[in-house]
Amino acid sequence: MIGIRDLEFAYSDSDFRLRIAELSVAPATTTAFIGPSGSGKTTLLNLIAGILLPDRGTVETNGTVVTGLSDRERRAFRVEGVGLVFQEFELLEYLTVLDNILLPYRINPVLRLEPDVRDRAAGLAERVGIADKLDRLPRRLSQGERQRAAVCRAVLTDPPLLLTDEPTGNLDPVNREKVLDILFDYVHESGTTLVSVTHDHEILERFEDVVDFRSFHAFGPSA
Amino acid sequence: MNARLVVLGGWFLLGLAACGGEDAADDETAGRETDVAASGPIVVYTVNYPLAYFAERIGGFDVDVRFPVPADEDPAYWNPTAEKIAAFQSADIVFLNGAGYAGWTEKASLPRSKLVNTSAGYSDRLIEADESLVHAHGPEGEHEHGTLAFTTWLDPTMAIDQARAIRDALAAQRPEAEARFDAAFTELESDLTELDAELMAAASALEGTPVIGSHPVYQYLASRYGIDLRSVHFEPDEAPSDAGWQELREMQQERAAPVMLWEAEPMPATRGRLAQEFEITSIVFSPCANTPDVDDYMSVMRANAQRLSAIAD
Amino acid sequence: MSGTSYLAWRYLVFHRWKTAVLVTALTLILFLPIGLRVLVRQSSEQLTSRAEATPLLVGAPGSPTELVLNSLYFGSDVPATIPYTESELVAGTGLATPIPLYVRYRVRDQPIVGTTPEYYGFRGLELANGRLPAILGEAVLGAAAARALDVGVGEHVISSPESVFDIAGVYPLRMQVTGILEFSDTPDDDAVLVDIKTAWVIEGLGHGHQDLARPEAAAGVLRREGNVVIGNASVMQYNEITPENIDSFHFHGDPSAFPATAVIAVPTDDKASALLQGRYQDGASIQIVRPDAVMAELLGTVFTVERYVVAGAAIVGLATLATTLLVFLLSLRQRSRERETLSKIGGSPGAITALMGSEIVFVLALSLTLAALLTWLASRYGAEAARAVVGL
Repeated sequence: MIGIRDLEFAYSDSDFRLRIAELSVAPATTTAFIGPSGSGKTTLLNLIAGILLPDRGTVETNGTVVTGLSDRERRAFRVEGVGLVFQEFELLEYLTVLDNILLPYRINPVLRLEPDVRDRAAGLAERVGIADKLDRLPRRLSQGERQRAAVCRAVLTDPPLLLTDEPTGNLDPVNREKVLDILFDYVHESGTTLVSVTHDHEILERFEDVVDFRSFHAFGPSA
Repeated sequence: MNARLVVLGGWFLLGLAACGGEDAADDETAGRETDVAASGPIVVYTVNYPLAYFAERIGGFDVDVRFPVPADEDPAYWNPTAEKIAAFQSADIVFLNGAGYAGWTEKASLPRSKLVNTSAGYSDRLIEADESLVHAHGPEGEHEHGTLAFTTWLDPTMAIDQARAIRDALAAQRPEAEARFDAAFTELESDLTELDAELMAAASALEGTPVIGSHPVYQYLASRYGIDLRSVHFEPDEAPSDAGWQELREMQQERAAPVMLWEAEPMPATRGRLAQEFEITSIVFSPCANTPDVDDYMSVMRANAQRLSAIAD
Repeated sequence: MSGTSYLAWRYLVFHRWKTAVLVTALTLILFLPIGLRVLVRQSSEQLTSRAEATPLLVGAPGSPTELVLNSLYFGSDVPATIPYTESELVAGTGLATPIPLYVRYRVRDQPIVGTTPEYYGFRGLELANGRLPAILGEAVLGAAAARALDVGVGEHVISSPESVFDIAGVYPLRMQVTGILEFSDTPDDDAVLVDIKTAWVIEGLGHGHQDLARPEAAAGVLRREGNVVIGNASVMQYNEITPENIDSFHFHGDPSAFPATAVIAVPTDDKASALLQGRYQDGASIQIVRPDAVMAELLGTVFTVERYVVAGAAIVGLATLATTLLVFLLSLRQRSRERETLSKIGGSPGAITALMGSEIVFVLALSLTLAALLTWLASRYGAEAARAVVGL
């Protein structure tokens, strides 16, 4: 699913540099990226998703050489083929839960909001237990409910790759387990590849693979 | 040959001149008709018949004279409907008699700029009607003025002044026809002067003879011709009341008058009683305030003069 | 609705109070200078055209502005009166047609205009229904007056007392409405028009009562002196003129001394106008004014004030624009995280820009639309509203 070769990346305004000679993630697997803060975990997620471009090397995701795409192509690739879940949920405060879930279909012309999409969104919401909250604004949901809504948004396009960045970082233990259950049930059913950034060692056993970023040549204050 | 040519030429020239003259006359008539046709006749309303007569005499085809008071009503006391007042409002000129005649005009909404008071020029010669009862509010309160006698047209010299006021108003309204109005007025003035002479002659024969008026409408006649006149309140078509006869009796005791002037033919019973009990001869002197059944103002007034003359004889 | 349009709409609805405040502020700063200008120009045009249509005005010495405002716009300040004979004097010159006015009394808030029938033709007033007044005690109403008083042809209006405390003062007169005029978009629309004699009856200069000479009126007789019957205070006066009692109505005193607030003089031509003005030049007991000149002076002051107000509004407007710009910039900054999220999950730059910019575009568009609407309303109804506010 993911293939990285001779990758080098540095932010222009800091000393941090990420260097990965080789990394691969098999399709339909679950992989955790662990490591201390500042070790480049989120940066690599962004590189895999095509949000950032490396200074050198190649990133191939789901058969597409992301590093060879234009900006527009990368966005199109991302909106259709990559589901993203963030630590802070990143729901838009002025949209209802349903509209937040449908968001990818409204922000890129490659996707068309058809009636079956709405049905799928409602189905996902039902599955994660927030079907009765679809017409509410995010501020009226609990933390766990918000993250579940964010998960629905991420998987609505049925992406082959799901990238989550500290998905349970802001959740209490009960909700953490609920969200993880939802994620893992989903990926096992759908055959989606899951890559998750985490620094929570207690959840590592759930993942099939673990990539420790301390093994990479990363330079910077925490390297 | 030459002489014949000269005579023919002469006849030819004369013919031309004659045709030219006729054309000139036709032109003048056509010109007049064009004037009127272009702007239409002046619409004139009057409050009594004599003014209507004067306006027609003076205005001719330049005026459309309208006098809408019904024939059986006294124009002095007529109360027009709102529709009739609206008709007056639409006139080009409204001729008023003055002297308080036609009280309805005081309570109607009439356009001031169209009103012409035909007595305005001689208001100092107006006569106060005696015996009128006036009222006041409070000892120092507003007084109502005494009423004026208003049958001004019974004095031909005043009638001339009224006619003059009509001529002036028509000429102001249509200056291009002033010459026509002048000519017509002069003719009317001549007729009225003749009438004045006839009445003067008839009245002079009555000199010194007391006269009674059946109604107080002959003040201007009396004033002009020096007639010793006092009045009662008898109606020609009604039998006088007992109080009325008593008033007459008292009046006759003070000064016995052999003649009574009537606005119209009195009832035979009244005429008879006047003759027998009071030795009073009744004669009709019509004030002609409304349109006569036959004839016109001038004929009616001449007939009045003749009847007055006959009595004197 | 397209994707970003929908998202933009939801954003605006969520921030509706902020949006409303921004729209209100922008609308006002856009509308105020324009609207004020439109209002002032329109009002002045109306006032000017009315003044230009009134060639000359004769009145008592005093403020020409007060004379013009009362005579043309029926303002509630009543100037000193002149005797009615001044109207006859104008007629007597042969230089102008006089139209006397007596504008003093009211039927509730509507001015009673006492005048003569020439007034209707002079002002070009047409009847919508009914007829013009024919006799004392009748009235014709302007279109707005009829609406305000809620009366129709055949109904009645009653003149209002000048002061509720003046119990010995003017008696209210009940007048029959004979007609209603077509809307003319002039102060005549608000007027109750009567013959000037009817206004004198309201004043108390004329009245009707039982004939004191008749036996039935004995209770009202104080005493008799010769042929004068003196009535006492119990004589009841009629408060309405009807066909049954009109004969009893009469005036006490000399009508040529009765009051008028002004006389409109319509000269025959320019030369006559100049001659007539020359006759009243010394202005000791009477003045003659040209309403167009009076209004021009008054409006000159108004335009000066308008310029200052517009300048002030422009400065305030600039400050408001700057503040609005600041609000937009802060809003954009506040939404930077939203922009980042949208970009991360694959939003196109066009969609993101459209979404961010939609707030500004919508607020501007709505403000412009509302400002245009308010300007149209000002041009359509502003003059009327201004008249109502100013009390003209």
